[in-house]
Amino acid sequence: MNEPLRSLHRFWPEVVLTVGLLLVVLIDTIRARGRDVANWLLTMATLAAAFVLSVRLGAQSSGLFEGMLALDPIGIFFKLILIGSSLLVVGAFRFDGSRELRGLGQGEFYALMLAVTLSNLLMAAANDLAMLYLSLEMVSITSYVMVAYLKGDRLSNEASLKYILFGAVSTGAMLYGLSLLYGMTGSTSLPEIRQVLASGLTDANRLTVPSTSGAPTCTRARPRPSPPSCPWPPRRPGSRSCCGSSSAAWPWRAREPGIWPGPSTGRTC
Amino acid sequence: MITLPHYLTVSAALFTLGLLGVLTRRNAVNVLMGIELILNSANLNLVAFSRFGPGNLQGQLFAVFVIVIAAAEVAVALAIVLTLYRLRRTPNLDEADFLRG
Repeated sequence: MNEPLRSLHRFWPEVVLTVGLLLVVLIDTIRARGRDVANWLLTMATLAAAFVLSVRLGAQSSGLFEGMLALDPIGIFFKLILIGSSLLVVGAFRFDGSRELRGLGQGEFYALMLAVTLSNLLMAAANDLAMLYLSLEMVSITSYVMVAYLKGDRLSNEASLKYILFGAVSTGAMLYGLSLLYGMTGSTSLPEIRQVLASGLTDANRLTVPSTSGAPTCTRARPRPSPPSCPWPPRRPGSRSCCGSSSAAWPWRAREPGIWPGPSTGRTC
Repeated sequence: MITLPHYLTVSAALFTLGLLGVLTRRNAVNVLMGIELILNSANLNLVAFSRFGPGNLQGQLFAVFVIVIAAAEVAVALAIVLTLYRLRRTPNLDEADFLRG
């Protein structure tokens, strides 16, 4: 119970950005004359506060929220760059004098800017595959909306449509790869994945536990009169597995040979 | 008995079908359906690895997050497709060619 509270003390930049984002949305619903100026001031103040709070984090290194996020000097450095970039964009952006932006709601833009900044901060601190995917998607979805900000413009609409299609396909392919990485290593935590990969593929055998499948294994339990014929892949010297080197890269393949026949039709394991 | 390779085979087939749908379909809604197939193939992988793997629930939790995010993404995409339809009176992606250069 103390861990979330302890982590919350080093999570203040993100908390401030979230509160600022909600306030901007609330103020934008009020039909008052000076709401655009108030939103601009609130956005700038929120970003400045997040910048100062990020500076005050110092050069400490620790994990937040049970290791879902990591706080380290390089992460804080990137947080400062990202918040500074958002400050520059909000400070330099002007709705006045723009033919395309005239009449559009400014509060939406400031809320989207705060949301994309918050997502960027989470991505800079992500320490888990799930957190990485979530923050990346938050940035993507917010960016899709920002590209389609000019609702009546065909170019903006078409650019957003192409962006979202390409982005979603590439995200899907990345997610498929992440799922295979989880299958190889048995964890979504980036430090654990690093440990498993650094110790070699022989440690990536957690998925080979046949406790639920009960399928026969290729490993010989008793000596046979003649070795099994495994023309492909070649059998490694000293290996007890008749599936050769492929059992290291795809461990479950060695356990259930009937599913993965491969080119070796004469295999007898 | 259904084992891990069965799940992986179905997942790979789903991924291939989704990619085929994305590459061959002209209707934007059909392309979005292909994207959903790709995301769900990854979900199937995650749940299968979690079931036959080390016994933790990380994969299943990851799959739940993917489902939620995919729903949000498709909602945004459908809104953009709706705007495209309002501007051009067609959901055909081939006719969205203003940015061709």
